[in-house]
Amino acid sequence: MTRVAAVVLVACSVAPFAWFASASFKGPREIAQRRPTLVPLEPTLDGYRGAVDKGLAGWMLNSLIVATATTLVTLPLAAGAAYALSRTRMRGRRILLGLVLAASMFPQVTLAHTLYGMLQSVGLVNTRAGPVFPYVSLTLPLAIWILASFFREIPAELEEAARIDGAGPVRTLVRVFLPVAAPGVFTAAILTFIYAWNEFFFALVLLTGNDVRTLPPGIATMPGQYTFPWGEIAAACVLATAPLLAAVLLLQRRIVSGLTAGAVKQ
Amino acid sequence: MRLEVRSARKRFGDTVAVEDVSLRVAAGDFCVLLGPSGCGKSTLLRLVAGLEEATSGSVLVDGEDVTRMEPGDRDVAMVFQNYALYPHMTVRQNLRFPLEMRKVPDADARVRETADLLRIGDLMERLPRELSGGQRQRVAIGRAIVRRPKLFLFDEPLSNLDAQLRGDMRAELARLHRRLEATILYVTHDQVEAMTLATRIVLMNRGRVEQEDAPEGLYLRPRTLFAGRFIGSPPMNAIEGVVTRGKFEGAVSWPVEAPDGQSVLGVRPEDLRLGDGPWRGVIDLVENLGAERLIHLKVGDLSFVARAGPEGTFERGAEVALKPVRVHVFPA
Repeated sequence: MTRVAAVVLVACSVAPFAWFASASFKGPREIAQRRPTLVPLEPTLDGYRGAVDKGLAGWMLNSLIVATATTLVTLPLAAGAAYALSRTRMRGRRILLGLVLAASMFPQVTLAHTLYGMLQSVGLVNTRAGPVFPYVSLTLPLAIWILASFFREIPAELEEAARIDGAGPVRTLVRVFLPVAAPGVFTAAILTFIYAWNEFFFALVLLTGNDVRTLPPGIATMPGQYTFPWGEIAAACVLATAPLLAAVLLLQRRIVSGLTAGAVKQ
Repeated sequence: MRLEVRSARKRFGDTVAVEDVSLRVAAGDFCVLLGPSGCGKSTLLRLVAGLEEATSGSVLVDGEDVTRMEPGDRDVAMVFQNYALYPHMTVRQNLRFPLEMRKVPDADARVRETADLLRIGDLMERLPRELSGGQRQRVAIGRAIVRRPKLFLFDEPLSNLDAQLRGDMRAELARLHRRLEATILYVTHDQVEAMTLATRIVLMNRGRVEQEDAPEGLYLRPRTLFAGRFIGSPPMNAIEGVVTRGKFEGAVSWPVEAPDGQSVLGVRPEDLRLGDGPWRGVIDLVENLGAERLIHLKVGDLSFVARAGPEGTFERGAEVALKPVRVHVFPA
């Protein structure tokens, strides 16, 4: 029974990707033909060529810069907050954690107008730095939650043992705490990165120049007024997803142990 | 190495964990902090370690005030209840860590020596999760002794082990103490550990020192009813009554050397002789432990427990005569 459910679940999430992957290798005629094919009859790289011609490489680089910057800013902030929340004997700790989560619940549309104004006043509209600010504030809550629940599982005695063994705060952090916390930190990092990589709405609003555009709004500009280049769009989507997929598959064991760390007692 | 704690006090918010505790541990002593959970013994240990900061009072090591010093600068080592081994390091790396932090020369030789002493030489390349509970405990002790600190702190180190292993490790700790001539401060709630390991026992109750004595002294001359009942299993029988001119009167009476007034007469189960004497009891229950039997008696409305050897017959419901061979009197 659980196996059936798993197969159905995987099929549901993999099928669209497989379909796009297949479409990315088809010519326009084969995509539009009445009887769909899963394996392209006449495989072609035209879709990829077209996507690259429209600036895909630049968008990917922009996405990489924005997502990396977001991750690099979010993680240290989240780790610091999560450490404090998981270690201090503080009244209202749970309420504080709840408030942190609530901060991520504002609908993006309500933020967009003000955010645009704010970033414009400091000259960050249409720069790659612009979207990093909303991304950091929106990914922080999840990152803090993941890290806080992970840190709570790490016994405080480990740090105390290191203190007694003569390690200062920095060496305790680098030699003892971070290696033990690595799966949690890694999970938070990859989820933050994925969010920033995939984010569409703010990127669309804040990045209007083609040279600063990230992947999602970039792909959204691909349809013309009268044409809908499915092959190129599919190719762009495959190229946008592939790096994430590869990273997650490669590191899935660490991510899984990070995701379950808060729930399951080892 | 001498340890001295002067009027240490520790509050967490409104709760007082340690209330005005003073303590002296002489060089080479095995000093056990004993008491029920929540009596402040672990907090006191953590004050000495430097993991908690005293609200007031001071800690001195060899006469030097270390109250405001970082734990790493106090030259103490600690063994934690849950071992606290670094999970990502092998046994060897765990043992080396404190030496590396202090840049001790010749770390490899020291690690090898310690491994031999604790017989963990063949586990050196394993990770903590690949070890049994007893092995982990050995490594934790190894990490403490490898750098030869002035003072060892143990926080209930045996309470996560099963009974058999606990007995073995207890004997091993006693041997280690002799061999290393170490000064040890050891926290436990287990009176057997305290009695067998300690050269001195500090019995704590509600954040205060109830009595400090050698194990024999604590057993033979408890100063309070709490001390009398905490040491010994089953605990001492307690009878409320009044002392008037050298005679205790309650549910039973007995001549005592104690000042007049409301008092409690304490008699250990092993100090009750059955079959003869002025007291009368009715046998309520007999628990046979093999080498000995625990005889539960009703004396008037009171319940007594007496310890008896395997000889003789004790029938439930039978009336027996009994008398104490040693009594303790505590002011009520």
